[in-house]
Parts: sequence; structure tokens; C-alpha cells
Amino acid sequence: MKRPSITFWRRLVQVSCFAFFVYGGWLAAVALSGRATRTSGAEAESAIPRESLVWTQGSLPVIDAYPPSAVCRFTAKGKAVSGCIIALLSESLTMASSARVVLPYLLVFTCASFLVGRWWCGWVCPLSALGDLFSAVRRWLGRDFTRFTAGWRRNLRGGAYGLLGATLVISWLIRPERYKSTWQCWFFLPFCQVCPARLACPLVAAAPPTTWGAFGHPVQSFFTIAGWATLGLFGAAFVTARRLWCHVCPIGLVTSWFNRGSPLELVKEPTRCNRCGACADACPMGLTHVRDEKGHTVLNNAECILCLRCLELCPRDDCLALKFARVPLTKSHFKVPGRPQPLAAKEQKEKSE
Amino acid sequence: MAARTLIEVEAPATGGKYLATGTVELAPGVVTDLKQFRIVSPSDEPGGQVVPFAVLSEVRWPDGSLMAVQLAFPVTAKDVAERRYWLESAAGGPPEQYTGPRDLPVLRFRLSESSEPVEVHLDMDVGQLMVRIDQHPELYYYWYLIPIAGILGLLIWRKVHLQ
Repeated sequence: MKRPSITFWRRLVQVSCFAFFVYGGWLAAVALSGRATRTSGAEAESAIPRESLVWTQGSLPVIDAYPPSAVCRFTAKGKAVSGCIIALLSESLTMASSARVVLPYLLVFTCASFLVGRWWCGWVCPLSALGDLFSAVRRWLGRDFTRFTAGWRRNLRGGAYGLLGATLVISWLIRPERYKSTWQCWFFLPFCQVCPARLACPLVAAAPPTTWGAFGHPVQSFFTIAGWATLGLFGAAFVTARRLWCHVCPIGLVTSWFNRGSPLELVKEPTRCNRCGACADACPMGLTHVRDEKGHTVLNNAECILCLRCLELCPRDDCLALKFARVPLTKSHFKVPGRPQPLAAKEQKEKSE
Repeated sequence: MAARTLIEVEAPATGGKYLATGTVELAPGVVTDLKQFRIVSPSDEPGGQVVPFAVLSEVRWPDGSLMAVQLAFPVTAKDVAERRYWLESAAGGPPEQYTGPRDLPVLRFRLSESSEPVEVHLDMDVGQLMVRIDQHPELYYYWYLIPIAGILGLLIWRKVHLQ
């Protein structure tokens, strides 16, 4: 029997996480029906204690957990989890949130990021799952994708630092005690205003955002136009160049700080590599270090999203492996159409014995 | 209603018999029947002497329990000089019904804010709520910094020592 590929499992995890993050709130509402019944406001009455993790926000229960990749807080309905680390940092800087609010969430984020690094980006992030859908459309249309050089990728990463820095500085500058005029409040959550998730996540959740056509104030109008423009760029980035957006995503940037040093490691055995370049061709982030690396055996770097396409397509037995705390989880296997794979041959041998 | 509440009566200038009247206000659900309390004169210590009282009027909460009761009980000049009566929780049994004359001079009584808990004749649930005011509750959450720092330290150590 043919073993499901890594891509199959990745797609399964992506779809499951997307459904949980974006639509899971509906399931929670059904499960908690009769217990969380009021339909307005974060202070809504509920049988669930306010001190617990789940409470009614808007019309449905939502968990604010701030894992490395979650769905946008602007998704009004359906979501089960609302937790973007950029929104947390931005809001906390502006509102001077207390340690009681910030530190538990930072601990959740730190633990999750340390355990699996940017694996979240490749397997869990609902926004990149949408992007992969755009990429599938490109493949269906038979169009080739644009390849970016290492220099371009460095510039994009610099852009991500710029976005993150600008977000944090603006968030700090507009804190309430510094209010001099009302226009400052339009800059609240500055990155969220232009993040494609603010419009994309509510749209796919069948809950159109209320701010998608807000033109009441010049600053608001600017952000409305900028939000739609960014969403267009986001789609174009996946249609033309695979995971181009993931190079400038500030959430991915923060998570990438944990990528090298995480116990989840992509490991290469240099003596088994024939430098065929299959890994470099397959990498959706356009990375070539898996092919080029000769000395170091751990391949985690800031840009790798651990999608494991390289491991899946590597034609050399045990050349690449995914390990957690040095324990192998999966390895590359020699695959040629029509020829039994080593593992399949082993299983056949065991059966015959 | 506390288990035992002091009733203060204004001292009259002259002696004789009087009718002390006043209103006892009650929280909802506490007292459903007048049998649940009685008035005691402590003139015959230690147990005191039950004083018969009359109910002039009563108002009830929506749940049927008493909201306010206007009471009247007879006092003598000697008792009033002591000014010490107690409104007590009763263990049960019919209260002493005052059937004497009601055309006596009226004295106003009021319930003192000071009350004295008693162990005997306690026929209602009594609990204590300990409230501690913490001026810096946020400090406890800084303990979260320890595991965060530990994880970041481990991350840096692994980055440095990674092959």
C-alpha cells in the first residue's frame, strides 16, 4: 500500500488548522450552546467563569492564546482562536497592558515557538494556507513562478524588520496619555490596519469585515485603501512567486528567531548528498542552503519554514532527516517510479518472512 | 440580620410604662417567619428575659421573606434607663405575643450597628468572607518571566552550540 506523502500530511494539517482557527468557533458555539448565550460585548453573561480561558467575545466563544500562527482578531464570527503576536505586542504597547495580560501569552508564544520554530508557518498558519491555495491556482494555470535571489530575500527580510519596527514605534507613540488629537486613535494596531489577514480572514469566515469600506477619516481612508492593496499584493505574491509574503511577514519574522536552536531540526548528512539540487528546486522559500551546505548538519535557518518538501523530494537515502531533540521523526528515501522504495521493500520482506 | 443585635431605646425623662416602637429591616431571604427572632431584655442575666412584642406592620420581599417589620414592645422606666435590649435569632417556638395596652406613651428605638455574635440559638447560615487587599497584585505575574527567560536562555545556548 502506498504511504501518504509528506505533502499529503502537510495539506491535511493545513486544512485542519484552517478549519479550527477560522471556523472552529462555530463548533465551540454548538458545544457550548445554552451555556454561552448572550450575544453582545466582551462582558457578555456566560455560565463559563470569566477567569477561565474561554469567554464570550462578540457572539461566539474565542480563545486568546497567541500561538505563533493563529487567525486574525478581526474575524468577527466563527473563529476559535484569536492570537497574533504582532497584535498582542502592538496593543500592549499602546494600552500599557499589565503583566497579567501580557506575560502568560508571551509564555505560550515562547514555548510554542521554541518547540517547533517556523514549522508553524509551513504547516499551521491559516494565512499561508490561503496563499498555498493561490499557488495551486498558479500551477493549475501552468504558469511558472518568479525566483528571487538571496540578495532580494535579504531585502525582503529587512522590510519585515522595518514593518515590525514601525509597528512597535507607532504603537508606543499613540498610547493614550500622549493623545493630543483624535486622529491618533486611527493608528491603533498599525500593522493590523494593513495586514492582509484583517480582510482575508473575515472574508473566508463568511463574516465580511465592517471596516472594509471605511472612509470616514483621511487616515482611516488611507488604511482602508492600503489594506486592500496589501491583500492584492499578498495574492499576487503567492501567484507569482510562491511564498514571497512569508519573507516579509512580521509574525514569521518573530517566530524565525526561534528557528535555529529549536529542538525540531532539519538535519543533513553531507556525505550522502550528491548536490542534485532537487531540494533547492522544491523549496517554496527559494532557499539553496540545503543543497550547498557541506559542513554543518543542522539546516534550520531563519527563513526555513520546515515544510519538508526538500526531505520529501531528496533522492538519497537518509540524506535529510527531521529530528526532534535528536530523535529522528522522518528521513529521505530513494524514490524512482516503478521501483519499490526502500521502506516498502523492507515491509514486503518482513511480510514474506 | 445579625445573630444578636443591640436595640437602643432613648431614655425618658420620667418613669412609668412606655411602648418602644421601631422598624427592623431585613435582607431578602433571611427571615421568613417572625418565629425566627425574639426580643430579650438582659435584666436577668445570663439568659435574659424574653420580652413580648407586637407586630404593627410588615413588608415582604418578592420571595416572601420579610423586608421590614415594625415592632412594639413594652418597657418600664427601669429597663429604659439600662437601654439594653437584644434582637436575637430564635431557635424556634412562638414568640411572646404582647397583648397589653397599646395606648402607652411611645418611645422610638433603633438598632445599634454594633452586634454580638452568639453561639447558642443559631438557626441560620452564617459565613465569613475574608477579603485581603493586595496593593500590587501584578507582581505575582512576573513569575512568568522565569520560564520565559529559561526558554530563551536554552534557545541561545542551543544556537551557540549547534553543529
